[in-house]
Amino acid sequence: MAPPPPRHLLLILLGFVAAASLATLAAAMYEDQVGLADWHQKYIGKVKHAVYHSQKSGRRRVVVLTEENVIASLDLRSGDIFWRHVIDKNDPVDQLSLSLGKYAVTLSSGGSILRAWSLPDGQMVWETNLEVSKLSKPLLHILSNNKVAKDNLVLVAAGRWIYAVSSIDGVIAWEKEFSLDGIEIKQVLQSPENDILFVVGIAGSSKLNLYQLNAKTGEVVKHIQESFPGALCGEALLVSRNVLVALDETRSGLFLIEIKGESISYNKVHLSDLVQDLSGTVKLLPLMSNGVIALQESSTLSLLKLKGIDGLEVIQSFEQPAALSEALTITEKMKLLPLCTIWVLKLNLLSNLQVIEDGLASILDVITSELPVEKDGVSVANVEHNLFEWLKGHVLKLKGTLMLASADELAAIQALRLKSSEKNKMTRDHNGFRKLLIVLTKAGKVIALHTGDGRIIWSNLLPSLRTSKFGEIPSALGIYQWQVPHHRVMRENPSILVVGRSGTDSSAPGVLSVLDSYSGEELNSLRFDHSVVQIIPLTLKDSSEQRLHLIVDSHSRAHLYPRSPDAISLFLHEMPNTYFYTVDIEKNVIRGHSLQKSCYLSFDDEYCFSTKELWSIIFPSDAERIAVSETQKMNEVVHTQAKIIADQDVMYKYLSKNLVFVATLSPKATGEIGSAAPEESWLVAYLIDAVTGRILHRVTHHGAQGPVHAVVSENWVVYHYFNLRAHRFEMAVIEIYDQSRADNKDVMKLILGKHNLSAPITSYTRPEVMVKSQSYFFTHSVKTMAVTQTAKGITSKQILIGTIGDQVLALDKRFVDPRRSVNPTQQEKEEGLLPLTDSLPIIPMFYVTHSLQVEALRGIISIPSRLESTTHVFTYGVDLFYTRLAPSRTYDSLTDEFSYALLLITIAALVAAIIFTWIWSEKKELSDKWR
Amino acid sequence: MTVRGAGAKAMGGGRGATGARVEVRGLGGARSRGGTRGGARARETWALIQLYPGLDLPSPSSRESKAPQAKIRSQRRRRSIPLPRPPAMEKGKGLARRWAVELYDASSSSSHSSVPDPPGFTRSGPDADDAAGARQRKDSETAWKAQKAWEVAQAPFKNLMMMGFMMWMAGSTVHLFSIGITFSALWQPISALRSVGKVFEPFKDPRVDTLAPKLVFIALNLAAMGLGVFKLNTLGLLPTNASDWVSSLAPAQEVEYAGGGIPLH
Repeated sequence: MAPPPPRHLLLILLGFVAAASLATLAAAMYEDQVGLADWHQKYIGKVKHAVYHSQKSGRRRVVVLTEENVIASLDLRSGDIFWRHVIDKNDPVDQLSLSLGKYAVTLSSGGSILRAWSLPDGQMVWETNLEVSKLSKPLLHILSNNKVAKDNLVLVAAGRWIYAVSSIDGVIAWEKEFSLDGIEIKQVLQSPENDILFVVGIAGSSKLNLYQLNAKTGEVVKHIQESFPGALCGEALLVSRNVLVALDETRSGLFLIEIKGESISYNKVHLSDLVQDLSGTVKLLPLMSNGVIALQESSTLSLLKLKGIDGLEVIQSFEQPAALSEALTITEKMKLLPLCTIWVLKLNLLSNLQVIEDGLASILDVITSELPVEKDGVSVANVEHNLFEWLKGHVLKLKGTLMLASADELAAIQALRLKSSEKNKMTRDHNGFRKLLIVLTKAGKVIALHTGDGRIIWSNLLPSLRTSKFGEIPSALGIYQWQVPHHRVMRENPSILVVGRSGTDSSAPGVLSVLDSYSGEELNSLRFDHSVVQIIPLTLKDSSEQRLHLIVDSHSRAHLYPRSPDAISLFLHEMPNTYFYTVDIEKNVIRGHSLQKSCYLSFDDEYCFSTKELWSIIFPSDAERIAVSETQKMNEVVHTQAKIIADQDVMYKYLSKNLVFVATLSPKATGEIGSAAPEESWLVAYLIDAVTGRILHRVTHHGAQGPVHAVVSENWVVYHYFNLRAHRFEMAVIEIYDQSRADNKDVMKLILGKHNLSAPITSYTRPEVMVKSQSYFFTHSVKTMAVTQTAKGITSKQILIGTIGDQVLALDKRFVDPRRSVNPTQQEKEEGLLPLTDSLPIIPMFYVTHSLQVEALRGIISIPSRLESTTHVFTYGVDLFYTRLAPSRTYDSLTDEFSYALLLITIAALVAAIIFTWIWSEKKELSDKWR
Repeated sequence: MTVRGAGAKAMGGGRGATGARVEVRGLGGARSRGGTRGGARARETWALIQLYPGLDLPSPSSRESKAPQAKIRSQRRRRSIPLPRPPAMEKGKGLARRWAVELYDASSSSSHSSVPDPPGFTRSGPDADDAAGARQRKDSETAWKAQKAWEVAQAPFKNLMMMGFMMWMAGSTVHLFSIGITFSALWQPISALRSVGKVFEPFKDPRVDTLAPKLVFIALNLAAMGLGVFKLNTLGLLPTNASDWVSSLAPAQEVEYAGGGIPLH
């Protein structure tokens, strides 16, 4: 065999060199470090539909469908998730049912996609596409007890169509289109005994059509039509063999319909006769029990028993402050009294699902809060429980370091590290690693999580954001820092501000509530007499360290909070320099406003300010549509204004908190990828000064298509879009430098301080900016982007990218540096500039989430810790993931792995050696002298 | 050529010569300058042997030709006439040891005890013109001191060259070696300048002008220091660029503040 040519060796060598050079870039973690600083929690969201599955053998489980579009199978005893699927938002799952005790059948996308999932492991068994009109509400019905065939049929009814699909392989067994004009199928019912299907359809608004179909073939056996005096809303229940109960259009009366052979007879019952004080929407809940129906309204659940066709009587009604899941389908035939069953089931459901905080799957906004300061007089022994334990732990660690530990001991070390009591304490730590993550959920619940292990410290469902009896659904808007006590009011607890709206409409009056961030108690609650359209936290703080907020209403009036004379005097001083802007996506306009003292309200309100439009940028809507608007995070800290480049040259960054990045897309480029030709789609990126409306920079990317994601930090913007010509995603970077300061290069002047670099800057001086930009190919589609924030802004930045695979990728800012060139000079290499490549590398070690997935990832936030090198990263979607990142490694502290025991032993050994050698040399010297 | 080598050679020669006793004696307790002198003397002996290639020390026939020379040397030593330093002498060489090589003539040493001096030979003969010898000795000592001072003054020059070479070898990137060299290049001249008085103390003489050598010494050391500073600058450790003064300059404060964004709907 001939020896391999030497070139191979060279290639291997080059490979090693490349790998070694990349290894220096990566800041990954080892396998045993997983879970030390990070935690991952799985959620499913608020359950909207649950199906119980109780096999005689095996574990009891429930299959649920949630508002986050998750199908999950849960253990009824422990609440564990057996399996879970997050379905895309574009494919909303409406219906869920079980078939044969083996499959969970879901109907999604308005009845057009039918899927069957295997119950034990959650694998998809089959999928069938059905052609239905999307406008109608689809119905899913699974035939039970089909004794004739072994196969259960799944019935899907939507509009005029009814499909019967085999539940084993998803083949359409038969389909039937009702030819009657304007008919809409409202209910599919099955007679308990024979294989006859009742299909209730409404034509027009008052004509009830009842079809009887053969369940096996789909042939129409019987067709009865009856006109009703009042309109029907379409909800109907087959209560007994031949009695239908239907709600009328106003949902205030019930029709009891009896089917006798060829004819229909009916009777109308007013609900107000049965149930007192009706409120909210009345619903019929299907209960598979003879002669009993359940009637749900907003606050009560009533069980009604049918007394022939003549009337109903109330058996029981329950006051239910908490809403029951919209429908509880009980597949089993209940022989018990239904009320008991419902209670049992409800309790069962609640007691188990309480383990899972369903709100955490629908997080709106996140802020952090410091923990209380540790009280004096807590000794080390107290903290560590036992000095002996502490010592034992360190000895174990030492063994691990010296590779003397056995497998059991290694496991013990790992367990010790994972449940270190240090990280879960409820007090502030020196490095700022322990914090409270305060999250606001869609339902208006505020929950505080500990960064150590993600446990819930407190949660508060705000009363002001709870559904009121008037039927309005309040919505939470945002959560802000209200008071972060420092020196003067150190003894007070920090507090947070939650702003909401008392209705879904944007003109609904807003609500405000201030919470103590240590306990979650509501300190103050306020109902505005104006609406909330924008909330602008200001940089100002009043004497009690409360941050000033401007709340803009739908009439473009600004309201100042907190309402205190101190705040108003402070604000009036700063008012001439305060501006706000609105990015109106619908009208395609960006407007800038200034504030004026007077407020044209009927009463005198000194906390209200009218606004004046200063500037506007109107984009031609036939060419550009606003796609994204991004600005720097308000709490971002920038360390320096100078950027040192190769050969000791300086560039001055254009640092302005008022810089707004806006990207617009051509109207055709906003659609799906592939819907537009490269010639007719483009992206225009703008850098706008929000005070003056000046466009500092504008760049057009031809052949680019949305969706656009952007992140702004310091003096740069990174944005992500699709390049139609290259058929790849691209990531572009714009860095903006201040050219007017560029001549500040005289060393003597700088030494003597004779420069204008630290003079306050105003946006009204015309800035001369220099812009550098570059773009790169990027493999992934992106869901969201963020950037790491550190306490002082010294540490280099990483761009956190939420990928389509629901993972978080931390990409060094060095990769998206517009100064990269193909052949960097020696000095540029020394500076750390990477050679230019056409695409950004994705190295598996860049994944912050390592092997985990944050299902339905929606947001990433980065919060600085007190240690400059380290930052907290919290990622939320349906799942939660938290970790700590050190973009430039932990250069300012020893790692957790550092073995103090080894250090102590080394020091002790050295001291012993010194003493021993000293004594020895003394003795030797003495004996030498005697010789 | 080292002192030790010279001594060993001389000893080897002595061992070979039955008549001549070569004594190599370590005088101990080194003072550097004396040591140099001792070493010089040994080297001179060696030079002597080298000078006469025909001189065959081991053979008894060459005894006569070597004897007078050795005798003159021994007399010189006794009168402690300072020997002219060989030109190849280097400062600092042989600092640790002080060597003295005494070559006794077998005939002269034996004449002390048993063999009488030949007729007409007076042992105290050369001591007759003592006054003239003392003057001459004094002159030569002054000359030696002046020469020595100049040599000491010029010594940093060689150091300078060596330092320059090492700096060139160290390169311009900051690492342990280059930093070490740079700081030693800075420290050596400073310590030398601090001890400039001490260095020239042995040559203190009213008749010797040490000012010029001192100035040369200082100038050379300053040049060495300059070289060190230059190296420091090439390493980029001197704040001579604008970047060194603005690298941690905080961003300027902004007068205006604008908030807002996409309205909440």
